[in-house]
Amino acid sequence: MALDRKRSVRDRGSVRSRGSSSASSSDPREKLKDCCRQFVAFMFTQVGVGALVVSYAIMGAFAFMAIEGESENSENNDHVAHLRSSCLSRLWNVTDHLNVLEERKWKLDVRQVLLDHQQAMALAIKGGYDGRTNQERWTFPSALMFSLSVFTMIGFGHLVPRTQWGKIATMLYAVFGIPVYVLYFMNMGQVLASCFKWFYCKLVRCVNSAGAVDELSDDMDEESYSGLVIVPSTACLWVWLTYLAVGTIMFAEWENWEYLDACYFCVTSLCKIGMGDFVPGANLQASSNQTKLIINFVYLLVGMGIIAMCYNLMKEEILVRLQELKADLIERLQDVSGRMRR
Amino acid sequence: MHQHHPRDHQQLRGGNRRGLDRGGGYHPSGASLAPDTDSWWYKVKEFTRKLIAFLFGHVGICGLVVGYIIMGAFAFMAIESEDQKRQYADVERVREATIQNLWNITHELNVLYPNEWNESVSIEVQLFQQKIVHDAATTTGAWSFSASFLYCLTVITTIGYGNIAPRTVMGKMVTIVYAMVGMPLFLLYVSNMGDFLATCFRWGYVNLCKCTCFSRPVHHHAQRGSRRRISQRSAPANTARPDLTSVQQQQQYDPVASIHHRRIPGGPSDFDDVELHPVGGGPYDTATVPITISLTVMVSYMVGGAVLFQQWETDWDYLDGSYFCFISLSTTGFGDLVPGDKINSSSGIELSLIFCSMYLIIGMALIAMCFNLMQEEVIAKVRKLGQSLGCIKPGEE
Repeated sequence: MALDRKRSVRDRGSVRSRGSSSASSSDPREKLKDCCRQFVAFMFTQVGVGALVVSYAIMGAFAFMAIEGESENSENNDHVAHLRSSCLSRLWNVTDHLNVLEERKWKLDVRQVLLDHQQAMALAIKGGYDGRTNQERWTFPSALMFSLSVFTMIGFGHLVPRTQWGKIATMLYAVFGIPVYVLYFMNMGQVLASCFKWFYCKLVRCVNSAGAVDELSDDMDEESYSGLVIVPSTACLWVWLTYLAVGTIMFAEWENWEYLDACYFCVTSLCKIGMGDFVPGANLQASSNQTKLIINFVYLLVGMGIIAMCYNLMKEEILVRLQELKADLIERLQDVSGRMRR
Repeated sequence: MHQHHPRDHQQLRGGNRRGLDRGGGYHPSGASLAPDTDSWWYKVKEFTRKLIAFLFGHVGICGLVVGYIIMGAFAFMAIESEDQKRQYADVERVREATIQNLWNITHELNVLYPNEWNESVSIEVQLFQQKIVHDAATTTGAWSFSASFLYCLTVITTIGYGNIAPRTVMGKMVTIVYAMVGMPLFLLYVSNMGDFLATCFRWGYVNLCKCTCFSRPVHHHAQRGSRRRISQRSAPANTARPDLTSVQQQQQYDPVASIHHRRIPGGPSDFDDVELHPVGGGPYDTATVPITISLTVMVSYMVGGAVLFQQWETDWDYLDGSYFCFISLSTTGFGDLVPGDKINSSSGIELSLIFCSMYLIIGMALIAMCFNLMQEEVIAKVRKLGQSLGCIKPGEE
């Protein structure tokens, strides 16, 4: 009995002892107290870390809104206005100087003017111009998305800091935020992994109890049984694929994207690549998009947790396979080099 | 080929197979026939053997990764070039339409009053401008070879700049598949190179320590165990050997042997064991590289990159350069600043993009090395912190 309790204490966030009627014959009141204590610790740890992450993101959003949103509209907007007026004056010159308006010549000159204007505009756009003022760009949901993309290392890039202070703030934010995120990632991964293991065991037990193999599962405690059952990698992959499918459908419906585009967005975001060509709610026209951004935020955070879970469950298997592969490779190489030396 | 050569005896150390192949029962398999380990020839042989293994191991991984990226670059070039031509055609069409409209405006006004004309024309130009802005969101740069190379690199390192992104259906599907296969490959490369670099670094560091410790008087047997062991080490190798314990004998610091030791297939536990023991001895205090040095390496690499990129790019200042290096090496990768992005060369290999890719590939390995060097200390410290805070129960991971 003491051994069972030790084991249950050791499993962090062990869901199994939460009110599950295990075969261990401990005092029910003790068990209840134990459960409560574990539950509180669990909530404090997991919820604590989750709350830390969310509050860090919110704090970052406000900070970036203050730094970038309030900054004077960069010279880009003025520059573009200047470009346009110079383009106009050039067009006027072209029109004015031709005493006889011959279509082909006029068009030739105008084409050149417009080409130059276009290229100048392209440079300005790369420098960050998109027709909006800083206030319009840095709304709260956008800033929240930006903070998320910094410390999760996704890095969409559809919204970036342009001021000097903004860039410095981004770097500092990343330096402190990435460890917080890694902590969250590992925590979430372990919690979800143990939940999933417990769920999987229940499933296996149900399936087994349908069969004839009963004495094995009766003798063992739930914890030891789950220790024997290793969740196969395919189960993890199925979970991930399901989550991906949910995200694809959700984003395709909301944003009117193609299904492929939504899938592409989900994969690149969850794998932390973060191209930034597709960002839900990026084209903020209506306020309804703001709730979408929040849901997007939650989706990405939970998605990272699921990836952590898969990584956790598959880690041992992958490590062992990698070792075997390495060892095999080395052996073969030694063999080859030995043969070569003869 | 049964030449009785002193070499043959020495090869038995390597493995059972060879000993057995050479006529079986004559030499007991696996037992060391007291080979002449000090002979120069034996050292050379061992070195070449390890060199070959190393080449296939580390350089092989590097080559595999680079080959994968090159293959991907060609693939994306082929896929996206058609769409690119369509993009240019679209932009041209918009421009021609604007020109036509301008001509109509000019033509219809019989008398050219500047104000009127300017008004109409400015509306037209404004429309043209908005279209450019709108299209620029989906228009990307040229898919030259170097740009595709950088794109593939950003996909498998999860940096994901996004200054160039696929627009075709095929391109997006290929990106997904390419990422799925490429990311584990790159992780393998990073962990491999990180381990190797960490080992080299530790060896170099310990060597450096030894050099500075040589200057200390040998009889300074202080209370600290580390110094005593260092003074033992600095004694001539031959005479020190009988004094050393068996543990230390295994861990004579010999970098090549350490690499060899780590590669002996012995299962995961063995691997971990050797990894924790840096070259030069197990519980040596000075053998673990302090965190400050690892951090210094990382920061100096970033600063070096910042300086280089600031020189290359005309409109970047030092802040932009360091911002770019930091954001790229942390795999965030916004894509607002990418070297060589503003150059409009339509053909050929743009050097700055290739240089940027090399910088990133090497940088990732360096960062992995630093994390490798720091991890033991950091984990211990975090565990202590967690225990003091009561978050982590003792005895947990």
